[in-house]
Order: sequence, then C-alpha cells, then structure tokens
Amino acid sequence: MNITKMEALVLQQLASAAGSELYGLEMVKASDGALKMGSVYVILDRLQRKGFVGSEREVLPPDAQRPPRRLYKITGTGARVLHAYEALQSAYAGGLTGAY
Amino acid sequence: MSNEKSDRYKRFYVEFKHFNINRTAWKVGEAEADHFAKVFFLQHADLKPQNLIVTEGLHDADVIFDMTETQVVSHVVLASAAKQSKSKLEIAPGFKLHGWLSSVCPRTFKENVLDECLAEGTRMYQDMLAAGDLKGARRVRWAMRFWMLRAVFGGFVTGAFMLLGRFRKTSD
Repeated sequence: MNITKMEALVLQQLASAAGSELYGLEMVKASDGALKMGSVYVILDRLQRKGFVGSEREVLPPDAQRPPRRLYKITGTGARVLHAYEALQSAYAGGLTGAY
Repeated sequence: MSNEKSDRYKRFYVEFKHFNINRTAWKVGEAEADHFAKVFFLQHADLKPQNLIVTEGLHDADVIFDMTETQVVSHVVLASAAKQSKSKLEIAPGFKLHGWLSSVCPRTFKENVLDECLAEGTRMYQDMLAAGDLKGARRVRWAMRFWMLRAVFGGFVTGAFMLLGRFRKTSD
C-alpha cells in the first residue's frame, strides 16, 4: 500500500503519541509548519478510509459551550505500514550512501 | 407598562412635558433624560397594532408609544438609548461557508473534514475572544474560511487522483 510523505508524517505523529489520541490542531502544531490546518483533515480522512487511522468524537460535558473535536488514533495496520515505510526509507537512504 | 416588560426589553421610560399633533407625525417636546436627544420626532403608524412608532433623530432606537384610549401620551418607551447599549446578534464565523460547502460535498467529507475545520476554528476563535485577543480572533475568522476552501480543494485533487488510479488499474 502506497503512502505519501505527508501521510507518513501524520502516522509518525500518531505513533509517537504512544497509544493516546491526538486532534488535528495538535498535529499541526507539532509538525513545525509541515502540516497545515486546511490539509491535515484531508490527510486524516484519507488515512481513515485506508484503515490506517481510527477516530472518535471527543466526549464533552452537556453544558460545554464548544464543539467537540474528533480524536485520532493509529491502528495496527497503520503502525505496520508506517514501519514498512520507515524500513524502505532507510534502505533507500542506505542504498544512496553505499551502506547496502 | 409593567416592570417585567421594561426589564425584558431593557427599555427606558421618558416623560414628556408637552407634544403637538401634526397629522401623521407626533412632535414631542424635550425629554427629561439628558442623555437622549432633546427633541424627538415620532411618526405614528395608526394601522399597526401595538402603536409602533418609528423615530427620527435617534440612534436606531425603536420606540413604542404607550397611550391610553383617551389619546393621552404619558411616556415613550425606548428600545435603546444609544448604539452602544444595543445588543448585537453575531453569526458564528465560517458557518455560512460551512453550510454551503456541506451542501456540495459528500457527507463523509463533510463529517470528517469540514466539521473538524469548523470545530477547531470555532474553538480557537472562542479561546482568543476569551483571552481578549481581538486581532487574533479576527484573523481566525478569516483563516477558518481559508482552511475549509483549502480542504475542499485538497479533497477534490485527492479524489481526482484516486479516480485516475482506478482508471489506470482497470485499463492495465
């Protein structure tokens, strides 16, 4: 399964959250400008459709004045795909530097 | 006029010393409250129920003429004395654009992307308003519209590439 650089970046962030859930703005802030607000949800939507990411609505108290966020979590398939992607990237980099 | 009603509408009672009748308009004398305009020109709408009056020389104030059956005007009730005291209804930022884009985008895209852009933007907007950062709040108002448009454009490009990929697979 192919994933883009941006999709890999989002998966890396979710994987580094160590099982906890993240929301879009959190990922944008952590990416140091690599991810934008307008594009992060499109990427997450795509990853969700591929089955690499799961999501659920934030549970807020009934008197909360703010809209609930959607919280994202990496799935087992997503983690395996990310692992394969990283292995491929390191092999490719190694090939370029002559390590292999 | 009951106190309950005046509290509800935050109206001010003004007593007038004298008034003249000029066919369709009521020319009313000086008001006792000094922060109002000195002279009010009140146009009387006979045909409307509740004797609703439209004013000139006031700051957008709605005026209701409170009169008895004997046509004795005792006082005028003002909806607002000045512009500052008038409450303002504000539409949530990005809401209209979100509604329009939702009507043209697929439901899953709306739920996963557009709703999230709006939710996140609204939260940021509320946080900035609560912190007193009006400049930042104004920036977010416009930024969230840009996020939504960008997301739709991104979604459209993604969809186009996915279709192209499918087409290539079937042609191979």
